[in-house]
Amino acid sequence: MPVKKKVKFDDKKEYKRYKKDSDEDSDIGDDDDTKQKFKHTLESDEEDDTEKYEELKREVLEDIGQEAKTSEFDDQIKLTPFNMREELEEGNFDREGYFHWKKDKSEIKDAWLENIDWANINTFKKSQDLQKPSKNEEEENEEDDDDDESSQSETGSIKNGDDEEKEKIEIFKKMLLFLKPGETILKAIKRLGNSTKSSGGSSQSASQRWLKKKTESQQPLSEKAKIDKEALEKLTGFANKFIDKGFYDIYEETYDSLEKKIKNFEDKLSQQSSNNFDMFADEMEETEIQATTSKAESAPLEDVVVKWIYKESNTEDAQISGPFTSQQMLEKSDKGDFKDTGVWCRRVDDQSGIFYNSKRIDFDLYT
Amino acid sequence: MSYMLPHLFNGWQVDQAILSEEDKVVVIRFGHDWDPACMKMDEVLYKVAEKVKNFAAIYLVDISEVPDFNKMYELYDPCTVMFFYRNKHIMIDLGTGNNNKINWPLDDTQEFIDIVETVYRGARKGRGLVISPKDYSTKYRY
Repeated sequence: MPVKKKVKFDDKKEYKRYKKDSDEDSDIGDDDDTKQKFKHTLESDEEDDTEKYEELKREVLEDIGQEAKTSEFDDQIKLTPFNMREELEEGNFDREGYFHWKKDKSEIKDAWLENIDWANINTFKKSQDLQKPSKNEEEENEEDDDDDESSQSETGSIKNGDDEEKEKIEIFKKMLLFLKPGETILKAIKRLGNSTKSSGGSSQSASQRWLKKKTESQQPLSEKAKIDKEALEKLTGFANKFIDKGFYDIYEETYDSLEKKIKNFEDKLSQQSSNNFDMFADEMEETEIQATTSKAESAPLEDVVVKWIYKESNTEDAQISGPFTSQQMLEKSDKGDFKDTGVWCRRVDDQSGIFYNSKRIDFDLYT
Repeated sequence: MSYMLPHLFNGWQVDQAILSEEDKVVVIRFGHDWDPACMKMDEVLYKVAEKVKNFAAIYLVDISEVPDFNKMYELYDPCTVMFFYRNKHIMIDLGTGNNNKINWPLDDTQEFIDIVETVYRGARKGRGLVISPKDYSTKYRY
């Protein structure tokens, strides 16, 4: 074996050379060596052009003892003749005898590209700009600043949050249609995905695939598979919306948890509408407290926005700061506001709660 | 006071309990009902069961009746509490050096609720190890 063939993993240099292609006057090393190495870089292996190969001539294939026909059945077992006809419909052999699959140009699909609503793309961009995070943050700060001063502005901002919530719930409702009880979204996607692929996939033999291709061209997809495919696309689309907004747990949601969320939201709505009739602040506060406590008991945890208060030392009379949202607490602790010793914090919602050291609380879990 | 909490009577049941819970933390107390340490723990579990029922299911296992897990989980203490989520053991940093389990009777219900909730939130976010809100290293000494 020639020494020059040795493979080197000097990525940067090799890549440069590769890009320069056959640029002869590269200033590194002696030319002879570089050319040789270029042939054997990993990159050049990977980018092997699958399109370019010399086809094996048909005559050669026919010479190697194929048979045109054979007896159709041996008892119950169907026989296929010993020839390459089916295979040749799906690809070609090159001169070395390797089989190359034909790439069906018309079948290249890009779901993302198809999904783009070109007509509305401008309005979409505008609505995105409106939802810039800076605005949200401002609102949050405002809410915290005049928490006890004006309950009016607070209800205003709650309403804004509600719109988003409402949208969320609407999507949940739509998603629910595709789910079966007890199923997570991930499972539903798998189920729908399986039926669109009809049967088997890669485990099919060449002749089966060939047969399928024939039948498919006459009748593209069975009705059920079509419906499932549409459902699949919708479901993944909805899930994606949540991922975009940062709800990464969406695939783990089950039918039941979605149902619960919808119900909670509707309960909240009805509660709020009844609250709106109460003009007296005191009464309103009371019902609000009731609402939050009943929620804490019945709702799944992640629906409740957790707020924290904290004090510098773990004594009865230490001054309490807050409330802060989990996000704010997270930022504070990341910034090192709590120093090395940490502060003692407690959640606002449980009155009997224990003050824990902030060093041991992972605020990220509550955001 | 543990008669309200479900017991699991064989290894299969334990496996199923851990496997079948889709979105709850499975809390399993390994020990003996007659053991004073377990009695203490069970009382806490019994008190919190109702409060955590939305995100946790609590089971009791007698380690003499079901010895299947003793070796695997190293259940040599009179009372051991372990947490599972979707068939995965969730570790918890209690400050004791043993992150696998609570191997002493906890006597504060609120502390226990907070631990279970932390486990739940952590597990939901895909964490395999969570930090208990309280550091038990100073309280619990060998």
